Amino acid sequence: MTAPPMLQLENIVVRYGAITAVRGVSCVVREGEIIVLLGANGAGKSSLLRAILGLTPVASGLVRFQGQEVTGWRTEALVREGLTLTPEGRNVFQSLTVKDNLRLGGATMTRDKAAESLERMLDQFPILRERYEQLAGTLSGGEQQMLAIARSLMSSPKLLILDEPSLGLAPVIIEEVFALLSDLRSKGTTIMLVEQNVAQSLAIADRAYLLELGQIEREGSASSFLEDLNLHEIYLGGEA
Amino acid sequence: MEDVLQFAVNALSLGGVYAMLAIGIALIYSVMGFLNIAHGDLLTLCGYAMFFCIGFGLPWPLVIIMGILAAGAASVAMEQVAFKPLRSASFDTLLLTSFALSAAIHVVLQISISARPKPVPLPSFLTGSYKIGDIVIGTGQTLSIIVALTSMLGLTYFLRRTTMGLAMQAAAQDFDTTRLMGIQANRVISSAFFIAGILAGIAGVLIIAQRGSVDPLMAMNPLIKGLIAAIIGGTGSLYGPVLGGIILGVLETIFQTLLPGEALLFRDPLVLSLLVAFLLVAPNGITGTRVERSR
Repeated sequence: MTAPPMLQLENIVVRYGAITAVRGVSCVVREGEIIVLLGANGAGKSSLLRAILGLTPVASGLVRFQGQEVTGWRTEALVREGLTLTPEGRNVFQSLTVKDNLRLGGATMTRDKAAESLERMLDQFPILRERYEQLAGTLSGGEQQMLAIARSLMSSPKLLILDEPSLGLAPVIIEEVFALLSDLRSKGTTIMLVEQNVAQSLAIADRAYLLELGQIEREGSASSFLEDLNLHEIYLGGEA
Repeated sequence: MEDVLQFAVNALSLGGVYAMLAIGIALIYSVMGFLNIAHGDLLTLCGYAMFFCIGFGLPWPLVIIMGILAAGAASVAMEQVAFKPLRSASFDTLLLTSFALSAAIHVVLQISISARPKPVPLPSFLTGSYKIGDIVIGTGQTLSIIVALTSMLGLTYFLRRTTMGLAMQAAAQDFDTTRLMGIQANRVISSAFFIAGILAGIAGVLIIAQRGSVDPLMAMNPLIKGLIAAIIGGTGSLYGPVLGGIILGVLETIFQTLLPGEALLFRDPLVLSLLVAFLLVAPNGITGTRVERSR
């Protein structure tokens, strides 16, 4: 826990007109950690992520990235600093090829660095090499998720934020995705994960936050969350 | 055989010009999500730029280049002045804004220059004609086809091979995700408006070369044709508006050829009725339906 903070949120509030989606969330992601943000639909998870990345305005509060205040920065500037988000679901560019999707992931880099990065991604994700010239829309759900992650990794981000990477995937594929995230962390990428898939995400995470109605209801080590049998009740409303 | 060739030249030269307007309209629609009614006025502005350049005694190539660049610059300026402050506004707001912008351009031109047409005399190589066997082919028409084809090939190269081109296609599908690639939204939007403006400028030169003059309201007819071509073809890809433009060109040429002299008046109504009927069957346009089927 002595690692310096990578991302700090202080009292973040996000509003859509009269509706307050996020009500004063504070949390911290330290270098080298995997943290998971849990919460049901409508808890404000996606709004919080969009606000961190500058896609939705922060009504009040502070965002710090690597010690620097970045509240209200433009999305593209944050990405260039090394903060990136892999959006929810199948957000690959469907009518572009796998190759062009990856190229766009490296859009901010010099030609040489992008080519190097591309080669590394194709080594890490052999399936993408196989599908290289195919349109992204023709890939299976799991392959699209892999592509979305690889595309985010092209720019070698310092902090990778993922919005529900397991959404709509078969259990076997979900395992593969989580194994990949674990592997990425061991290679030095800090990861913030938003998930509804409680058990599996806690298994790879260091710490967790539970978001409810736009507020942090609980925080602690992933193991303490796992041990707490009541969590399933809190979270799934009684189903165990 | 001669008839067929003559027909093809007429249809393609007309269709090519419509296609260039339609691509610009479709490009803005797919990146920004609204139909820019002021797009047609870029033709007019290109025409006035050429009118003034001729007045300054510039040589022809320079006049044409200045006309095209003026349309590109005007397109970017439109975005900066009128549409940028409304970035997050709804489709209706942007559509109405573009109507207002178009009306404002008309009035400013009418007051500051004249409501009456100004001559834009053509260099002789644009008005001449040549013969292949028994058929007479206009140099203007031939040039239209060549220029339209070259512009489209250039655009295809840009969209497929350059990062900005890819970013533009990506932004058309999902703007937020495109920004998450670190791509600057403002630059993508400005580039889209610039390219749309350049294409409108090229179409403008070809159209003005045919009519020989420019007036504040001249863009109405070409704008409507461009909108129709974009809607018929579908805005989902580059091929949609091109196809739409060519179909429109072919239909107009068919009616032009087949209708007896006194019925020529009904050419446009007939073409439009056919297209309305088509949209009843395929409301998303030609490429639009394809996209939906594949999903």
